[in-house]
Amino acid sequence: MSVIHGLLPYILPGALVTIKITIGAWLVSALLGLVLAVVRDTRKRVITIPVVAVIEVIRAIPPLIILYIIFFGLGTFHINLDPLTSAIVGLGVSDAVFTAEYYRAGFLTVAHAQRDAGMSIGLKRMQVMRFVVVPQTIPFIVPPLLNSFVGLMKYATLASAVGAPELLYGAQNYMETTGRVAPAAVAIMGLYIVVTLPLTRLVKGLERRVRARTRA
Amino acid sequence: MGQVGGWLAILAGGLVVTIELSAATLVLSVVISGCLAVMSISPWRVLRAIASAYVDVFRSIPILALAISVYYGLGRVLHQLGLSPFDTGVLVLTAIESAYLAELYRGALQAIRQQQWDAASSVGLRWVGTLRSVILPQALPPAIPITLNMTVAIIKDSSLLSIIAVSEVTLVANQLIAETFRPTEVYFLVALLYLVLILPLSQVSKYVEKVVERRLGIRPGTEQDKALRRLSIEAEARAG
Amino acid sequence: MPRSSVSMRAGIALALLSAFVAACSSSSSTTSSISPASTASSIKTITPGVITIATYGSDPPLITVGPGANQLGGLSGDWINAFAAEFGLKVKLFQTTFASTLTAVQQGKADIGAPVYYTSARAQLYYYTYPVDVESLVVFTKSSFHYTGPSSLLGHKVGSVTGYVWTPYFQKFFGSDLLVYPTAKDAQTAFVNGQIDAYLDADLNYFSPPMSLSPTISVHAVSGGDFGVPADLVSSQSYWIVRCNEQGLANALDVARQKLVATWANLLTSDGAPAGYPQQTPSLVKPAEAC
Repeated sequence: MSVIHGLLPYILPGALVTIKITIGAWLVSALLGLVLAVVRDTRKRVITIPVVAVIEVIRAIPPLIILYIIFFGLGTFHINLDPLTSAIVGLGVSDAVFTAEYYRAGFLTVAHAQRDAGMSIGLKRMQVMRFVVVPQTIPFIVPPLLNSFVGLMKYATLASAVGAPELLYGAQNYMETTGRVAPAAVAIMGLYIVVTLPLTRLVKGLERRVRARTRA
Repeated sequence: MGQVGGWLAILAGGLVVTIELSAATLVLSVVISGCLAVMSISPWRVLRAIASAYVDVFRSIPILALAISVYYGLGRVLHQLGLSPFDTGVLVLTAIESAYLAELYRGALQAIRQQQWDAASSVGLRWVGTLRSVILPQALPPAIPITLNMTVAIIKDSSLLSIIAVSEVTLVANQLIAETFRPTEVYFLVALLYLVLILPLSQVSKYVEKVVERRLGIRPGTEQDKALRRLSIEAEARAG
Repeated sequence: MPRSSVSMRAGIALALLSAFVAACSSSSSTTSSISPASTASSIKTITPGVITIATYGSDPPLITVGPGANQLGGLSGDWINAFAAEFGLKVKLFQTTFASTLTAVQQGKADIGAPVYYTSARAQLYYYTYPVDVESLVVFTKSSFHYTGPSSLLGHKVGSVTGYVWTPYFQKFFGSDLLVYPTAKDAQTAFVNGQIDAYLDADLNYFSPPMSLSPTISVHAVSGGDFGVPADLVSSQSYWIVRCNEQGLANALDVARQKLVATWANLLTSDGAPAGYPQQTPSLVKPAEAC
């Protein structure tokens, strides 16, 4: 159909950029979240209080504002990140505070007894983290991390607000150039449903399996 | 510093709209999600299918994509119905947030053990009766922190409606920046305003969560505690 | 300045090429072998060899963005492409909302900003080139709307764009009835859909989509003082803007424009201007620069 032909040059490049943003932001979130969670796990109040404060503050700011601050705010200091990088950093940081909570929940499932056992055989806290806690957390972390991936895919649309040429940006270009909204709207929403739905089902299935493991 | 004061006054006007938008969305979402959650655990397959379809669809669509598609795509229809950008924004935000909230409410309902249902039916209560007298009252306490966390999510997502000309605080900020050429200062003020609005809410939510845990006799580290914690984190992360 | 003698050499050699490029409004890529290396290096841009332009969307025939990622067309495109060809630069576009184009230039995300009006506040931050076109503020309503003056719009939903020079005045006049959109196209779509009763923008918008000279739309003139807008902002010219410390870039743009004087009047037609489109030949005088 000619409509699809007309859409493709706008939609395809956009989809590629959306994928880049999603993967980039997800990596930032997964890694930064882990760092935050591990740092927060310490018992030293001097460290936990500022870290918790930073986490709470970032959690309270809309991702769009964080994006604007990174893109335009840093620009005032002549740190000009391009739209794609700004989106990856902004969305990643915004999501990292949630990933950190997932990691924390995972750490809690590793009973204190295990940690104490680790300490009693002479392992330092960091080593206990590395060899005892984090490995056992991994199965619990997979579903929420996958969830965060799916969520970031949807929030990638925010990148259009700072000029990153992702899917929504492409759809808007099509709408502006041809004056028709329906084909682009159907395309973008359809694409999101088709990609997101199976992934969400997968997450639910994984969650059920993980929950079954804890029950045992 | 008087300049900053002037900016704050202008931004505060936008914040009022943010609050109105979020409040309207919250009220509608709670009602819709409550119905959807009940439908999804009901014994009638049709109801479960409808709820499932609604949740699946609206949890998959990004808010910005839906907002732009509805506002510009259905523009004539919206005009005939007399719906302003604010009204459209509330509808779009409600459609999507209620889908997430419904899943979380469903989780709270399902966390109530099968024993309760069995005990009620052995006493002669039918499904609706059990729901009203036994299940819902027990699901209510955990639903409160979930709803509070969802309120935070709604307030944050309301910033996206600046794209369809809703004069909430983000749009007002963009206009202010175009006049003053000072993005850093203005966006930091906006972040501050969101903090002032949201931080108290999240603190209250945490406190309520602890109260609920104490009342339900949940000890930290147990499976119920983990389930509750997961639900409330997911509420704010709009995930699950 | 040494550059002017070099550019005169290059200019004579390239005048025909520039006119050809401009008349065809073709894509921006150039062959840098044509211009001497010294002219290219005298134009300092954020990315060497590339001129980055912040754009806010298409408004044919004045300016069109696309269909390629870095294609600028229309009258503004003719000017830019001639400039880029002359100085051996590739064109890169940063397409965003209207208000963001101003910030983009200010922060060094772009070298040049797509044409905007002059205000003394903007002049503190930006250096202006020769004018691109002349526009007047008008009120667009549906023909069925009984417009009798500014007060007849009170209580009705009215639309404009974030960052326009008139928007602060509109906000005082209309209060919460004023809806501001990120781009002109968004606002015009809402107007055509009926979601706003009146759209306030430059007269030239009437000729391009989505309004497209529709007979169902009426255009009403605006006088100084209407809606609180001062007289000197009712009729304005638009200019390219650069950062204050990039005056050399602005002057280079003016050099390119100077060379198009002979062909300028014909460019509008070849850019597809509909019949009745006002000629855009403002006199090549710069506004009061403040930096």
